[in-house]
Amino acid sequence: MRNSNLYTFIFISIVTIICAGLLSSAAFYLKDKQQTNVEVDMKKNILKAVKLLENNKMSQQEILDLYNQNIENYVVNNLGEIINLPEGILVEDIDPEKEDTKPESDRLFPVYVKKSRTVVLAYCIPILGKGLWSTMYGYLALEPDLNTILGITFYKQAETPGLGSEVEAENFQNKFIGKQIWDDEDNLVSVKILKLEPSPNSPNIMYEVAGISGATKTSDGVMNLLLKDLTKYETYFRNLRKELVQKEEI
Amino acid sequence: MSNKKTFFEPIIHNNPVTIQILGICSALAVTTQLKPSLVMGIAVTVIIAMSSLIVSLIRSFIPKKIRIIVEMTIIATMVILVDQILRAYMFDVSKQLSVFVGLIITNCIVLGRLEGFALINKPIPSILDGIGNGIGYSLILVVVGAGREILGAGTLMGYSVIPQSLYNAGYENNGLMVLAPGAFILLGLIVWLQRAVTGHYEEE
Repeated sequence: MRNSNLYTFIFISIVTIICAGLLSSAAFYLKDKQQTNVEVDMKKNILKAVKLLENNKMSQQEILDLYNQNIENYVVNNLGEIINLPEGILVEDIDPEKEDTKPESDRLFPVYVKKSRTVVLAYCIPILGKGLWSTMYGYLALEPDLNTILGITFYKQAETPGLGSEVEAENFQNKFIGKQIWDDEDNLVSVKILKLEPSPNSPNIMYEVAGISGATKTSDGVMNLLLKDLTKYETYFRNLRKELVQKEEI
Repeated sequence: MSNKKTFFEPIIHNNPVTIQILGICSALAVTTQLKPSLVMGIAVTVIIAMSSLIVSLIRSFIPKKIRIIVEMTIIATMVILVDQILRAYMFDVSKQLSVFVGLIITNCIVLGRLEGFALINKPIPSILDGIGNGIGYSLILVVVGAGREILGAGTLMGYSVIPQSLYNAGYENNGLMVLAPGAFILLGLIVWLQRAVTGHYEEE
């Protein structure tokens, strides 16, 4: 009996159905909690990039409150114009990864702005791109001059634990603070990631940081994705920078 | 074999990592720091114990010719469950372990214990054997993880443990320890040490 094909077939069907049922119900009941985690994590990382997050021990509610009080957001298109989103769609819902697959003129690029009353304190944009194994997701925050890096974070990646996954580590991210993305001739140069610490005498030290040892591919990935994503916002940032110069002249 | 022996033997005398040389892949991959090593150890222990229990409970119903498929299905279900729970309740840790939770499915220790023990033993000894093997695995991971974190980064659980005065005196973190060869070397030393102490040798 136990060797008959029918028994085998019935047995494996029962096992499969039970396992599938178990997994679907787990996925169903845990989904809300997992989604909240992802949403809070995203907002936490925007706050972290713009240096509003003081410690890691804040509750989820505190993070959401802090975010709502300090961060404004909108989307721009590839011509650098601010676009109104249709009713019911939030800027947070714009998935930069999906936007990359659209034709260039339809793409929307979210911008998160840290404001105190009407004064802009920082601009923050999502960044993402391939590392060695995975797509890395993060945020890059710029000072109001749109040149100096205020902060960078990565919050989702599946790089090698302990090596490439160090992109999430603070001591790697802190290396970017104060670096600049435009050169003296106003070209967008982004930041170059070297294998070693940049020499203190290097003329380009403002645009260079050291990569993660043992994770060259991940470091290269970070370098490429920074340039790629900053280029998307180049027109918009250029316009803003022109306005800044005009304001100074007045 | 007594229950006590079933439980304690895999921890030292028949350790799955150092004696049977199983589960090496994950022992190399997640042990750059202590914390992921610890969580990985706990996750694997839970998964071996649960799947051993289930396989032992249904062992007399499993048709011989598809037993491996059944075992893999059960392991995969347990692994995905653990992954989902980590994502919901320990989000930060699950991010750190990333793909390696999913890869527990391919950890030879789990399948090895189901094939070698749970399939022919009663539920209680099976669960003890599972936990024992899980702890044996975790123990090695924790030792390697702690060693690599201290030598490679000068920290433990993220806190600095090497005094600044030592760095001032010219000490440097050993970058090799962060890479896979560092894990091989530490693991090799542990295997050597253990065999020297217990007198275990490979049968010809």
